[in-house]
Amino acid sequence: MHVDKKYAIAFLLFAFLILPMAASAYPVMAQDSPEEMIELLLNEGAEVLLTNIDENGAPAVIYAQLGSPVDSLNLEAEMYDNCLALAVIATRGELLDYIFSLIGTEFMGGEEPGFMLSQFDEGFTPEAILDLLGSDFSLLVSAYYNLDEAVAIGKMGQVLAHLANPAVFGFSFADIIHLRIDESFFPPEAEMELPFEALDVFMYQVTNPFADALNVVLGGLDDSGLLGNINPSIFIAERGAAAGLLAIPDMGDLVELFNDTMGGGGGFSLAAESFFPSQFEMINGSIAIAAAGYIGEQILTYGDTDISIGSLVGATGSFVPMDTGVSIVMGILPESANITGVSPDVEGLTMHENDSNMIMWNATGHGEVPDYIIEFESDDFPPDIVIARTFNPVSTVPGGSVEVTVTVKNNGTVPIDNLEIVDNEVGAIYSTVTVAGTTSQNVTSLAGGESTSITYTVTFTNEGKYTFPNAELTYEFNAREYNKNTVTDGYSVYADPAQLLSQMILDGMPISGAILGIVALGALFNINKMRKGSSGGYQV
Amino acid sequence: MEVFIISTFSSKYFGWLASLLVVLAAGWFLLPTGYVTLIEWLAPIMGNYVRPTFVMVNILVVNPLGNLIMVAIWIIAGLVGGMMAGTKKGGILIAFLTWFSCAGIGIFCLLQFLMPIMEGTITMSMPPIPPGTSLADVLSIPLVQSFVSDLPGLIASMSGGGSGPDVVGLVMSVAVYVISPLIIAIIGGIVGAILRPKEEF
Repeated sequence: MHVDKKYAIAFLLFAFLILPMAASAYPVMAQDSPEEMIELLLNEGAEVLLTNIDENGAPAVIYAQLGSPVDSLNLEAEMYDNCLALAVIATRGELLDYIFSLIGTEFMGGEEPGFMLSQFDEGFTPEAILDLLGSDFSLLVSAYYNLDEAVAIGKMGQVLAHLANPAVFGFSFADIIHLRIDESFFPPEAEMELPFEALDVFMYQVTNPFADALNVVLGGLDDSGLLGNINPSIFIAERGAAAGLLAIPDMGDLVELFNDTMGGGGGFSLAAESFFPSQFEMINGSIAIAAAGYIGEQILTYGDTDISIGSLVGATGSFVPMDTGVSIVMGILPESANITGVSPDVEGLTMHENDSNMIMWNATGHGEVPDYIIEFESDDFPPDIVIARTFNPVSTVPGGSVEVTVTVKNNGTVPIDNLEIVDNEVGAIYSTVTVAGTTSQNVTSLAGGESTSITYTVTFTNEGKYTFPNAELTYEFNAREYNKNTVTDGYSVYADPAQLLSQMILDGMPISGAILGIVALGALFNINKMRKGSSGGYQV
Repeated sequence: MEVFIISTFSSKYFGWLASLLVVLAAGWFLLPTGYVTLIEWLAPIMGNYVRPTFVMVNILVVNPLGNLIMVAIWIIAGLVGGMMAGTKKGGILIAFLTWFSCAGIGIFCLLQFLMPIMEGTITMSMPPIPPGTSLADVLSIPLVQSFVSDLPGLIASMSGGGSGPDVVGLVMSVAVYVISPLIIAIIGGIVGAILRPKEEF
């Protein structure tokens, strides 16, 4: 996997990695040690608006708050005693997959994947877990340790009630599972030694629709700063989005338990691991992070010369920093872009990291700003190219077929060259389907306003929901190669009860035929007896 | 006014059919989301018997304390059978017949489901989770929730810490869950017969 550390640094900033960079732009913090800076940010709170534009001109936006959500969650309350962590996440589409693919696994701990368990050949990575979970879920996960089961359940109930309170967040939940792990669960002969007396893990489904869940997360945050100028609806309209909360009521307890679990009393320490995990040992007390983000379709095209951060979050007014704490705005352009200007640009408050094309504004220092803008050259991005996939009919039944059309349209005014359209993975995934037609095509050139397409037919023998992986487009523009793809689609082949019954009868022949015959004869026999009114029946 | 008469045997016969229809239809249409997710994920590779197999598993393996929907369905099926039979013996007979019929259908579906796998005619490589679904849904299946509590011990014993998985405990749990619908249906049948006893003419 390609790992680009600039993205990793950026996406982990809500996990404190932004602090060293923030220090350079925030004079008060510059003289402090990382530990003091973390403490300062935890006490005062922080918010970050991160925007990333990829080489196709498509945005990814993440807004995160650190520290401030503690107020809404009331992490000092007794209901969080012995709570290791609480996480709520709602996701739809490919945002998390996108983030993990950018961060990669190597960043988590050098050459070896940081959280890999050796028995997993492919690695027990966040990306692998996400693949297993699927792309659309809304969950709350929480863990309490060293409590009586009834006490843990009681505290969890209080937390749920707090999160469900419309005056605070307004989540709604449905039970999924409660798992209590203690020594009584293991056979005595296993001689299992746990680093805790008991661990109660709770999992709930967040039943709010995704849009509501996102609004609930953002609605519980301090909106005195950048958030006040962010329109939540822009997150919902895009191709992938997610929102979530992570609360750790006592970081010291969590680190201690983690060290005990990993070290088995052997003196394991997170501080000895890579930079990211080592930061946790610096933190004491409670922390909370809330974030929401989306990935969108191409917005920057050939001819554009600037990007407004405000436009990426649906802003209608000026940006102001938080009343307390630190506000940071970040913009990242692809390395292929040539940044020609930044606004506002104030020495000591605006940082431009040339190697990674990352702009960081100390929004607290800047105060009220109409917008944050990055300027670049007009040929830094390709023309507006759209790749879309359609299915006709929109669903079918076993034995049916669907006609799949992948269309590439050049909405720009300049041509693109050497196009390659590929959409051939469904046949590789499902051995039970039959694919006929054109699944890949090369096109020499596509002029502005023109389109090209491929069409193929897939025939299904089984019911189910079929995953159609991204259809991919590769093309060249200005001697540079670009890649675009469609979203991953799901195509439903619905079960037909009558068809299934026929199949069962046929597959069960001759026994099924005999049974059906006997049942039918029995029915006829009894109908005949009813008609005659014999054998002392009764009224119905 | 013309009176329509059903014989005692007919009432048992049609009571059985009605009871079976209630169970199968409710099992089909009230399948928990977690099963539907599994079906959508696995059926493309493993065939069209995935759904009926899961439907029958959901019907036949019922934790009476954790799957109230299926408990209610078996009670209704028992009541329908008992009311149509009009006698306690008839209600019990219909409950047995319905349960055995479901078991037969379930075994048939399971065999059809497993046959291509055992014959090696289908590959077992797992496809991606379909967009719009999550395997977290599987945890909402009552049966899965019932067995999760057994998981730590099973993992510990399988990882070499113990003498082996607690197979007896697991089998006993399954046996209780399998027998539960029959007992519920029998009770429903008896109650149904009491509520609407056979009328003599």
